[in-house]
Amino acid sequence: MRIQEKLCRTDKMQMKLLTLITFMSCLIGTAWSGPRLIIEHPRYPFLQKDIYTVACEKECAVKISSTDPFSGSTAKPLLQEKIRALITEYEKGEFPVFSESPKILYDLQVEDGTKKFRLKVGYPRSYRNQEYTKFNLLVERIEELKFIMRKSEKGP
Amino acid sequence: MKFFIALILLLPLSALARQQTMFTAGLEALSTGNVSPEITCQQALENGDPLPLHCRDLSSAICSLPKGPDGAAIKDREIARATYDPLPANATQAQRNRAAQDAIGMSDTQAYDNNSADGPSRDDVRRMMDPARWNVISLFNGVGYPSVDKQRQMANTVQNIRLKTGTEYVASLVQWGRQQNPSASQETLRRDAITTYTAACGRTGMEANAFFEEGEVILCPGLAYSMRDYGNNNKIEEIKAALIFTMSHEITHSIDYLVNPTNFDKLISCYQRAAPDASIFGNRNKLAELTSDYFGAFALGKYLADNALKLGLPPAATPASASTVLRILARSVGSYCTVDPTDTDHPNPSYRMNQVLARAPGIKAALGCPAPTADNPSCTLRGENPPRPGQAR
Repeated sequence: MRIQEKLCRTDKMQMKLLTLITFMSCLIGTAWSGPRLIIEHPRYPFLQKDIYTVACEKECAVKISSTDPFSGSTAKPLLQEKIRALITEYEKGEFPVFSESPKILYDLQVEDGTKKFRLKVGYPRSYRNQEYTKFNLLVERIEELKFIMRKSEKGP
Repeated sequence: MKFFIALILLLPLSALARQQTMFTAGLEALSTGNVSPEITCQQALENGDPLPLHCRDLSSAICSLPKGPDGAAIKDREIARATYDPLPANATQAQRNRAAQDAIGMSDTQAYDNNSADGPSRDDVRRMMDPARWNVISLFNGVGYPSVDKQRQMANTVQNIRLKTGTEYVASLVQWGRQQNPSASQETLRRDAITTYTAACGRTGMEANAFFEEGEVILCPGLAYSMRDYGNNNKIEEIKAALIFTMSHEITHSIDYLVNPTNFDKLISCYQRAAPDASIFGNRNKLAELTSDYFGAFALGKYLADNALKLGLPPAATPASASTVLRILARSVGSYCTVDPTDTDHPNPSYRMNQVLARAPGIKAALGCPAPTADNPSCTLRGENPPRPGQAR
């Protein structure tokens, strides 16, 4: 009886340990799965696209397909912070609504956990008044992200 | 470890070999079909031989033309090294803006001012807007379709389109910004304009981009510069001809299918009958691009005929003159050769080249290809040319 009790307690301990490990790994998994970003940048009249992608896990993997292609990664939190700030600004309505312009300056897709958004951005003069001010803010944010991406450590 | 070092050393060599293979493949493609490159399309027709590639598959002929190094990409890296590279990752907006300002000044100089032997000057480029405008207008002037009033409207619109080369666009954006936000400081307006310029033309201005916006055609320096990549024969005159296609294409966006679809009913129906493609007809953006390509192709064809002497094109096309025309086409539309499967706004590149460009009578004539026939008509604003039996004109 005593031995059975002891075994049972060990089982319970093991279950608790297993639950704890599962919980911890879930927690770690969530912590490492960071923000993602894609900036598509069409060029006319041929519609060749520059494509900028960031996928953050333990570090942020960066890939740029353009006239000057680049791939690399960065462990620095700068990119993550900037992408998260972008989401916050989007949620506050600080970016312009899509102008239905036939030509696209950027097609922006951002995701961080359950938060995500996609914005198609037209050429500047399809925005007026307050929307133009918002357009300028968004362009500044995107160009800053592109700049930081190029400052990542170059990969193979 | 040694294996990896050897691999790293061999990689550039394999890339070089691949480039060489592509170059050879390009030359071979031009002479496939058991047709001597020395034979004209007319001679091939008379002999009952297959036509030379450019009269059978213009897209393959253009895309297989050997291309030199990507000059705009090289300049982009050079300028970036001098301007952006010294900045830290956390550079302030003011620092980045300063670098952008320096970079776009350099690319403007490279593309338009610093090139007496290598490319047309800024004034040359500006002067190309007139033939582009007039060649576009000549296509609908006097056609009587859709109506005289609509012709006048379109001609007025086209006549008033202005060209902005490179940094001139910054000044336009400052003006636009002032209209939208009169209380903004000059410094803020200029800072925003420079950032937007780099978004449109690339961080150094060396991305190949051109677009129509608010009555202006914006020609980024990178696009003008990238036209130098094909050969050195009569380079400046060839680039000027190539600019006609790009400018006419962008000018036409001021009157394109999105602006007034009914103006192009017969043109679109003609292409649909000649070469049905479900992915194009029904997509408004693609039809807008199609109409712009149509005007671009006709304007270029007319320019080639009007400037044959300058371009060294004889009255009847020869294999050598067809090569010149192919090179001009490659300078204009060589970038179409990169197929983007995610593109939902442009007809596929082979359609643009094999249907729209190859059906333009001026381009057919300059390449020495058989004239349009009832079976293989040219498409015009009034439908097929020659017209289908019973087609109202």
